[in-house]
This record gives sequence, C-alpha cells and structure tokens, in this order.
Amino acid sequence: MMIFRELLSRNYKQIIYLALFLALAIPLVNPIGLPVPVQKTTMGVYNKIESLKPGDVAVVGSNIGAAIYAEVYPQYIAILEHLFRKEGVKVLLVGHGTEAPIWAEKALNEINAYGRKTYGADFVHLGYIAGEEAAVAGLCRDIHALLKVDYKGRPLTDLPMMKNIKSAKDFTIVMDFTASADSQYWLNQAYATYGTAVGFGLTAIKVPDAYAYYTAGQIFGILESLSGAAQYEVLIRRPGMAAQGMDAQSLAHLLYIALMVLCNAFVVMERRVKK
Amino acid sequence: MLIAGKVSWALITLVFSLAMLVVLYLASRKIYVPQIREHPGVHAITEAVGRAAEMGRPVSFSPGTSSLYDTKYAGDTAAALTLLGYVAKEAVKTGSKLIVGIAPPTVLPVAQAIVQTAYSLEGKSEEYVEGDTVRFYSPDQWGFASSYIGMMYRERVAANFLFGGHAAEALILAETGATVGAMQVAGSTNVYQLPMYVVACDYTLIGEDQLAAAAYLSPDPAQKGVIFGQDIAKLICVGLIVLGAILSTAGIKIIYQLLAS
Amino acid sequence: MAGVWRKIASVVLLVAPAIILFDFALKNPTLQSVATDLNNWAVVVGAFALGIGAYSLVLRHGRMISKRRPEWPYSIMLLLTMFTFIVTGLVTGSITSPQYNWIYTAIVMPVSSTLYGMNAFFIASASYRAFKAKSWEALVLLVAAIFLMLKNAPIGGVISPVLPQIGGIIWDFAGATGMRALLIGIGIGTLALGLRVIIGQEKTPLGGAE
Repeated sequence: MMIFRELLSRNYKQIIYLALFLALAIPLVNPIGLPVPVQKTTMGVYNKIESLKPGDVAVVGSNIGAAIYAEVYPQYIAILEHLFRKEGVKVLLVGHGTEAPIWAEKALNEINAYGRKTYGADFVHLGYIAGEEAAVAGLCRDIHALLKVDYKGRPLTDLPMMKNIKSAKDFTIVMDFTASADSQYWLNQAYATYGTAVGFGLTAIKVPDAYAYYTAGQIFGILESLSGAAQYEVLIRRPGMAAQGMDAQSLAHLLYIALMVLCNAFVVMERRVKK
Repeated sequence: MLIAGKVSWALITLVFSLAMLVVLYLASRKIYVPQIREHPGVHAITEAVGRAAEMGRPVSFSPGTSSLYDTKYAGDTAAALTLLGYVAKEAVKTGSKLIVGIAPPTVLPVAQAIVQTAYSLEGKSEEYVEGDTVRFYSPDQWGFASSYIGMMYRERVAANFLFGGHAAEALILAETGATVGAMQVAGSTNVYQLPMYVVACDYTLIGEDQLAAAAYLSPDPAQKGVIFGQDIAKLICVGLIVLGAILSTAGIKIIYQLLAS
Repeated sequence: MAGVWRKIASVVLLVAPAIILFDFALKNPTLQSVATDLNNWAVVVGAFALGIGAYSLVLRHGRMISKRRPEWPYSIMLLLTMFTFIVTGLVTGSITSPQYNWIYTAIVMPVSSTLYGMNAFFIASASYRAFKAKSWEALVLLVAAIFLMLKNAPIGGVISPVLPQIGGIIWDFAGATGMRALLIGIGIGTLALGLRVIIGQEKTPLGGAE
C-alpha cells in the first residue's frame, strides 16, 4: 500500500489517466450490459412527444459541434427518430451554431429522413441562423420576415408546411440541443413570450441550470447528457451509441469515486504516521 | 394596451429598474457612494502578482471567451476587463511580464487600451509590446484554449487569472495552470464552471464576488452603485420568496398568481 | 468625428432596446413591426460579426508571418487550413458537401473532441488533488459528490436502488435550490448591465476603457 501511495504521489497524473483510459476503453470493446433506468426528466420529453398529434409542429434547434457531439448527437438522433415516427407531425430544424447544419444533415441521413418523409411537406431544415438570441427572437416573431429561403436555398413560400408556420404561435413544442446559451434564448423568446412548450437536450454540465426551470414547470423535460440519450434509446427501442457508452460512464464514475476515497485514505494514513 | 400576462413582468422590471437607477444616479453624482467591503479575492490577486515578480516568471490573464455583447456573460466580461486594469497596474509596478490572451475580437481593442493605459500611467510605455502583451488567439473556444495552454507551458507562468465568461475550456485552462505551478485566481458567474475553478484554482471568486471585486477596484462610483442596486433587487426577491412561501403554505396564492405569467 | 459617432451610438443604444422592451409588454402593431425589423437587422449584424473573427485572425497571423515572430510557421499552417475550409465551402457551395465533410471529419472533429475530452481526464486528476476532507464542509461536499455521481451513472442503481434516490434528494433540495439562487443573481446582474448600457453609463460597448 505504501509503495502504491509513493507511486501515486509522484506520478499521480499518469496513473490516473491510464486508469481512466482503461475504464473507458474496456467496456466499449467488451460491453457489460448494465440496465439503464429511465429518469423523470427523460420521461417528460418522451411523454410530450408521444402526445403530439397530426398537424403539430416540433421545432428542433441545435448547436451541436464537434466538441459536444459525443454527448448531444445521440440525443438528437433519438428525438428525431421519435418525431419522424409520429404521423403528421411537422419537424422544423434550426441551427444556432456554425457546425449545426453539418450534424443536422448527418442525422437526417442516418434516420433516412429523406426516404421516409417528404421534404417541404413533413420537415424543413432552415440551417444556421446567426445572431444568437436575436435569431431565436426573429424565428418566434415572424419566420418569413427573417428568412426567405431554407438551408438549401429553396424559397420558404415553395415549401407546403411553411404556409401554416409563421411564428412561435404555430409551434407546438421546441426541443433544443446544446451546450451553450441558446437553450436560454428559447426559454426567453418562445416560452416566456408565447407560452410554447420547451424541452432541452443538454451536456451534463448544463443540466443543473436547466433543472431549476424543470422543477418550476417551465420546461417539460431534459435529456441529460449521454445517459439521457441512452434512456431515450431504450424508450423508443432503438439502441445506439449512447446505450453502448453507459457501461464506460459507469466504470469511469466508479473510478472517480475510488480516487476521491483513495486520496482521503492517504491523508488519514499520513496523519497517523505523523502521530 | 398591456398584453395580458405581461403585467407582472412590467411591474417587476419597473420596480427593479427604478431601484437600480436611483442608486446609480446617487452614486454617479457622488451624493451617496455605497461602500463595498474589501474582498479577500483582491488580496489573492495582489499576492499572485507578487509571487510572479519574486519568481521572475510572467503573469497570464484571460478575460473570458464571451464578448461584450453576449446576453448572459457581458457583465462578466466587463468586470474581467476592470480586473485586467488592476492586474496590469500591479504587474507593471512589480516589473512582471504580463500576457493577456483574448478570444472575442470585439474585446481586443478594449483590452489593449486598458493595458496600454496601465503601462502609461506607471511611466513604462516602452515595456508594452504591440501584439505580444495582449495577444488575440482565436474566437473559437477550443482554438483559444489550445493557444492559451500552449502559452502557459512555454512561458511557465507563475500567476494565472481566469475571469469573465469561460465555458468548457475553463477546467483545461485551470488544470494546465496548476500543472505549470502557477498560483491561480479565477472568477465567473458561469455556474457550470465554478466547480472546476474551485477544484483547480487557489482562489475562486464565486458568482457576483467577481462583479463586487471589480466594483471595489474600479475608480468609477457608478459601478459601486450598480452592485448596491443589485443587492436591493435581490432583497426584494428574497422578500417575495419568503412572503410567497408563507402565503402559499396558508393557501393564499396571490404572489404565485402575480408572478406566474 | 469619433465623438459624433459615439453620440449616435449612444442614442441607438437607448432607442433600440426601449423599442424591444415596450414591444414585449405592449400590444401595438406599429411597435411590433419596428421591433421585428430591428431584430432582423441584429441577425444580419450577427452574421457579419462572424467575419470579424476571420479578419482578425488573418491580420494577426499575417503580421506574425511578415515579422517572423516566434512560431510563425504555425501561423502559415493556421491560415492555410482556414483558407482550405473557406475555399472548399465556397467551391462546393455547401458545408454539407462530401468534400467539406471529409476535411471537417479529418481535422475539426478529432481536434475539438480531443480538447473537450481532455476535461474527463483533468477532472480525474483535479478530483484526486482537491477532494480532501480537511474540514466538515469538505466532507459534506465529498459525500454529496459521491451520491450525485452514483445517481447519474446506471451502476448506482445496480449497487443499490437507495443510492440514486439519496442522490436525487440531494439534487432536488440542495443542488437545484442553490442553482436557482445563482440564476436569480445572474438575471438581476444582466438587467443591471442592460440598464447601464441603455442610459450610457457603460462605456465598454462603445469601445471605451474605464
């Protein structure tokens, strides 16, 4: 134990990083298959989307980029898949970051959106709109005043579903996938101004902030990081990369706990040696 | 005229704004300048710069990756720039090399002006190096992070200040500073990054502590007035919360109905 | 001349937010139309602001190359990469073209996700260094952190169903409560900054130093 303590105190970073790498890598190669319990925040999102009727409009905003795609992209795919299974629900995709359109198109191709639904009648991709909160405010006020064309340059007036979608009054729900402040923008502009139901798909670090709004009843649900995505994949019976990652996450969390306990055990040992 | 459901919003905004504007007016006219207690974080800043001077190693400063027009963190950035003025003054006084890393391009001219002014006031204008003292790295979060940590490793900074609106790169910057042995003082109202600062930095100004420290150090009395005005608004919030909780428990939902638009 | 522009900017900073604020609370078609136009102009300005970042990068790194500052070859690499992305996007007409996707997947994805992923490793080493229970408060923090981690990971429920429940109670009654208080403070601070900008007290958006 003392030798291990000596080693850890001298090279603690190298040992910790190696241990963490193994804790993450081994379950990805050799899954354990731990059960994934569904939390109430995830269930809130699922129930809301399940309650959508034909003609309802679901706005899916995203600020997914290469940095956060591992946490948020599986949520995005799962939600889009669920929305596309709902008959008659219109889906409007919006980007709040420069990389968002890349991930939106990737997701649409992955769920075969163009094959199973009609672009323009069932779903529209507006692309990235600059301006942060001003962009969200513009979408909520009057989409046609803000934008004339969609992501591919097609006039909005030529897209059948956009005839009936003019402002946030026509949105039924908004789901925003982000690690940035655009979730707050949708709350400010869509929920606070028009009373539109808003839900989030967030990275773990943003969840505490959103949870305050969830407990106040201002958002209908949160997909919390990779575990939220895994729970949603279980709910819609479409296992994907999130479910695979949960074993790795569990082992990594156990490692963090072990490290915290270990460092305190060493402190206690040191005190005893000094006495 | 007023949209139904917006009455409570208008009322609350009016009351808060009036409270802040009155105090701001009194402070800017020096009729009443609220006294802000000396924050322990200010000592930590001075200590860190002094340590860097003793070790003969540079001081690094980052005012955040949020711009001055950011909806949420513009206040942070403004406070960070005030703190930059103080750190620059202390660095010049003690003869430490100062390196300021900038992410948003809109902050660059402001930071340059602040640092140049600090050097001029100490009579050491020649020590300010254009493009080197204040360095624009990248508007991209990760481009900035990799540049900043590269600078910390190369320059072996002895004091690192992380103020303003940092996002996910906060832990990477702070942990790198810890690795190179820098004394670190950080502050942010970004609640997601505060835990990272607390574990990796020597001193953390939590939430409004950063704004209060900036107001304390700023010669502008209006900044002190703003802090006091915000405290009044917070007291009103506390009053509403306590009153609302008591009344709701008694079954009277008037406060709840007033606030819930 | 600079003084005139600052005065004009100050007037704009007063009038524009006032219009947006009044539009939020009042029902007036004229006000709504003006506010919508202002909002849409802000979107256009936001788009141009993206270009400022690129321009600043070219300026800075161009200067580093011309003056042969230390590590100037990296500046060449940066500018080359930047122009490769710009030209590819312009020539193919879309950032979702196969060519753009290829360079995005080859360069941006590994670099960005690596930097973000470093957080996991840094948290591990920072936790080992910092989570020492040297006081009662630190011990409470340590115990709360352990329960919250067991709540978030499925393994907590597997070890015992009680563990995530305790984590949930800590989260609901301590975490969310504290967060709410911080959010109120941030909201008030944002309002204060907005007021200062509107009345012209805050000089930094006008490019002035204190």
